[in-house]
Amino acid sequence: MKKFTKLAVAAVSGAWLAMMTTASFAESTMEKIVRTGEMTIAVQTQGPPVSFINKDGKRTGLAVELAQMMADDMGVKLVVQDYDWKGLIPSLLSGKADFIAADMTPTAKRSMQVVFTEPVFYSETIAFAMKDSGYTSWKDLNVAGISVGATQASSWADIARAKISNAELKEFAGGTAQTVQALTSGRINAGVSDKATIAGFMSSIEGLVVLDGDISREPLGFAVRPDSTHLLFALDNYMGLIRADGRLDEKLEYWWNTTNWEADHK
Amino acid sequence: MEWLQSIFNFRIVFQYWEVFAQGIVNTILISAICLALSLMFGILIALARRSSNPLIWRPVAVYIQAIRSTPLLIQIYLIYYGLPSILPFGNFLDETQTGIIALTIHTSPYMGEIIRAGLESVDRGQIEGALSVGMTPRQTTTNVVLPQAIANVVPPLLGQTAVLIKDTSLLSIIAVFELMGAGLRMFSETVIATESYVTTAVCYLAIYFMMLGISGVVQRKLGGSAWQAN
Repeated sequence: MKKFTKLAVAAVSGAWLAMMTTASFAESTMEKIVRTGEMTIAVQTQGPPVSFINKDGKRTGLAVELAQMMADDMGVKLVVQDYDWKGLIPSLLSGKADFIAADMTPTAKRSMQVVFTEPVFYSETIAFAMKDSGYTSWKDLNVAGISVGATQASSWADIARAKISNAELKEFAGGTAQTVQALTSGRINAGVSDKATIAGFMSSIEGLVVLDGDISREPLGFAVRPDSTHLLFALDNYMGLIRADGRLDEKLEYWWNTTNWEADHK
Repeated sequence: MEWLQSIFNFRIVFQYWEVFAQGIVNTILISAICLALSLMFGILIALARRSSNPLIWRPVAVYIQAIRSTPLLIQIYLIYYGLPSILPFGNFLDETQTGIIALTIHTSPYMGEIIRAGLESVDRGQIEGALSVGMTPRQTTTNVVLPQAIANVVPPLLGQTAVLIKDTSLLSIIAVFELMGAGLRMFSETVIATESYVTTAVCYLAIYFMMLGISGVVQRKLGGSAWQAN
């Protein structure tokens, strides 16, 4: 009899546990946001203008402000978690964040793991060098004997590998700051990054110039888990909404196309 | 095999085998050169540290403490970015060479301290015996003391070498491509974290086991059966 009771207790608690887990699995990301009143985003520790700590010690930037605007309109609290680039996608896939608000390129391979929103903004990949280097266009760099720097394992490095294939590519771990430092200390002849990121360095580093011509243009989007369909459509819908009412352009103008943000945050 | 593929995607890992092979080769090459150099300098440091002349042992002690108390990351930075601004020909060395120098400067004091412990573990009787059969102090050191000292400290040296191998991954901040860079490249392109990082870890493990085998041979050569009997 005792054995039977034990068995029954085990069976009931097992079934209850199974129900609990299926219940939590069945809840969509959007339902979780509605239930808890909190939207958690993963942003990248990288520097202006997408996501950075400003002079007041507050995390801000284009991606952070867009997510904040959406959270405000939804009436939920925004929780910002910042990760190194390597930690962004694992944080999303393990459920630590609801979506990634970073300037990620939606490549075909990456889309096999996560789902990207429609492009939120576009970046222009450019080359930069010191003023006295004598280079005028990025095409001048495609010569043997020239060394070009870019962030390790970044889309910029891929672009440099493909389009400036004759030059030697040096990939620096970290971010564009490392590439800029390598350039100013004479370790490389030129660097590859995006226009907005370099604009942030131009005011603080004398003699830094952007070479003529865009090497490539890339769409950048936010990313969600493959099963977060409701949230994906909500994000796309919201970007459509603020594109129409002009608020997206306003933010892009402030953060991305100009360096107006520098006056308030630097 | 289907279920295994869904847990760990070998198909995608296999697409990157060339990248990983290049990473492994670079990591082994850099580690091996650094190991040889730092053992050599380590022996010199250990001998200098044991010197009774304060003009020799004091500067060496300062060097050991300075290196042990500062992070390797900063040492690499200082050597890579600092060297060209101090020396006009600082840019003469490329990234890999600079990295090897930085790692050697960093690892030698650790090796030195381990070897010093080994030197101190050699029985006085061995030295007295060697001297009494007519060996010069130099012969005593190179033929009697050092082989026994190193054989005694092979296990801690092995540990320090494992640290050295893993430290090579820090060289990616000065654009040296090694095993960690291979893993990061795969991760950046495919964004599958488990496969990228586990593959990298398994490669480090393989290098470690290879080193374990080599050190066993070295230990037997140096120690012989007499050492084993101890």
